[in-house]
Amino acid sequence: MRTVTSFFGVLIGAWIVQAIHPTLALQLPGPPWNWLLTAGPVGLAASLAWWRSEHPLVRGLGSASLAIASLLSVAATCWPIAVFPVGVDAPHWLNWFGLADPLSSLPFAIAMAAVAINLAVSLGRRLRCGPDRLRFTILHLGLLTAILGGAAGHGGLIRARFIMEEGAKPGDAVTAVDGRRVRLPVALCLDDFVLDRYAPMLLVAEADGSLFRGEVLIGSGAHDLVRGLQIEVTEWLPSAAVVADRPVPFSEPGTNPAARVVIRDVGGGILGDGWLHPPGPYGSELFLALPGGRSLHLDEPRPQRYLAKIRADGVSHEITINHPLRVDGWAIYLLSYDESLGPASRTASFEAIEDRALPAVYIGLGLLILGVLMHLWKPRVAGDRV
Amino acid sequence: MSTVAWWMEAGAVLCWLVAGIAAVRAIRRPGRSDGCYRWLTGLGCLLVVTLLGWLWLALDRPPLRTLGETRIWYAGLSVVAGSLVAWRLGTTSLRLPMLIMGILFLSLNLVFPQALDKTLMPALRSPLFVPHVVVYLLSYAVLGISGGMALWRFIRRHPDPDLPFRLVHAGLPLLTLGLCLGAIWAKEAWGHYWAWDPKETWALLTWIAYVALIHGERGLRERPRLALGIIAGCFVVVLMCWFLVNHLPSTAVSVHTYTRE
Ligand code: HEM
Repeated sequence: MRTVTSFFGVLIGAWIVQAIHPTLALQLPGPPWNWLLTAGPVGLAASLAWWRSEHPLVRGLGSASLAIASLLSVAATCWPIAVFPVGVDAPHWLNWFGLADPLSSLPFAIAMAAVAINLAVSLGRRLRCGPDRLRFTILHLGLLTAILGGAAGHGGLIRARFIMEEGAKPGDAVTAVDGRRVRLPVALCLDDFVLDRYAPMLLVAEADGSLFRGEVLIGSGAHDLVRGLQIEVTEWLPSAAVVADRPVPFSEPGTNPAARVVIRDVGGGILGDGWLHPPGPYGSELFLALPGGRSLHLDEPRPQRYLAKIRADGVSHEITINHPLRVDGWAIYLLSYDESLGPASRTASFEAIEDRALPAVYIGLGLLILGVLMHLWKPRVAGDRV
Repeated sequence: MSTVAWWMEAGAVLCWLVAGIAAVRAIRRPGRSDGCYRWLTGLGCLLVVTLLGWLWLALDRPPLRTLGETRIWYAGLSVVAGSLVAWRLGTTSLRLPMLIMGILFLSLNLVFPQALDKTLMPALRSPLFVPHVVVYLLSYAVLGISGGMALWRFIRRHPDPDLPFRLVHAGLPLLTLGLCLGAIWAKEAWGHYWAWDPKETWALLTWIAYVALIHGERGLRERPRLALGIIAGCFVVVLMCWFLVNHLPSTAVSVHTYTRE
């Protein structure tokens, strides 16, 4: 209990310091200091625990009560991110509690350090207990490895966002988010950006401004029933531009379709007839105003899949949102494109990331998964015999 | 499409309601056959499984995109997982809590009918999408039964937290698995296994709540009413993470909230 009380003392002290100096922000340094600062104390704590497993300080540092206290402290320091758009528009009073930037705050660092030390010490003690508690040893070891990998990796991480334009010359120099110029292991250029879209859906706007989307992907001869309106497509232009308030066939990447529809009420009476076209680079919106202040629109087609065809040192690759390109410890992710142009976009934005600590995180997650699966297979609750 | 889904959901709710009545009668008159309960619970599950299978085929995507779709899974998983856990633990005490959870969440879909469409955003096109969400929903289902049961026992002054705790020991590993799968997927899709998005932070807070709970289990078992209150409270954190987060100011900067249509 004494350890928990002392921990709370340190935490409150850190909180006061942070509240007095709200701009105080902690960042882990780059390699090798990130590893020394994270793995060093943890390794030391684990060895100490192994060596003097029954020492009162070791018992306290590796106790379940410190686990609870440290975990709840992590929750108490990071909750503003869960509730407010921190960094964009968070309430000013968070400053008074030293929580304007929770993740770089002193109390958060203390809470995370306590979690790591507690895990390390309990593991050091646990290693003496033999295989009957193996699943908890594996699980806690996995957690500790993942937390250490995450913390150290955060210090050593290199991230660079960049935009490539179709046809531009290959390049390998990018600016990292911290302003450093870094070289990628390969020279990249964008050959083609491809965006496939779904067919559009209908949208009914009620007089009070609420919107209701149909269920059917609109195409030639499609029918849909939205908010009691029976809508039938009588003419369909898969790719159209709007000229003098009329849709005309026009084929260019980025053009939207247009649909001529007849709208009936549930009794079959005709309520309207005309063209619909979503707003886009090739013409303004065409919609139909209906009785009672309602209106019918053709929603903008939603993206289905997008991919960047790139060349890395002359070799062609495709990058999609769930398939980054991996080269030499770097991963290059496709982030976005020029959404105002849609399929006509000739640019795509990417993020290149080098995280040398990633294997540690994955090994940790693997052990954690193994441990929880073993626990799931043979759950044990307090009071049961191990 | 949504009309067919509505009627199938209504059918399942009806089956489970009658099964619930049969379960209550079985408690009042022990020793009587519980065939009616079993058949109707099974029929309700069959309707939900058929609905999900049909939606998967008709929508040409996993029906896990909208909040309404996840509620169908949650209701089905509550009853299926509840029955499995009850069978494994050899208890009949889970019958009512699991049916109530199933009925409650399907009824939400009956009151707020959902539009169903085929679109699926590119980020969700990953082999990890289905395992991540299903494992999470399964853990929510188990933890929901645990929370519901704890609340019931708390109100009825029946302070025995053993079964709720056992369910937490099944739900927490699943929650952890869901969290890990989410991190691996996020790394693959966006390059960051943990980005402190509001939804991710709620997922961490939920996990912390349950991890803290089981680490305090030994002491809490000696104060059963407090234990029941805390177990019920932990499920409120799950609900925050699952959908109440949509109503917080932080939702404006989240990339993870379910679409509400
Ligand atoms: C999925 C997450 C976790 C699960 C399922 C879990 C499970 C458990 C269980 C069941 C025990 C009792 C084991 C026994 O008596 O042999 C335990 C003990 C313990 N856990 Fe965890 N744990 C988790 C995460 C954590 C975390 C994040 C921490 C650190 C903050 C932690 C620190 C501890 C400590 C210090 C003990 C007491 C060690 C001892 O008495 O030997 N655990 N854990």
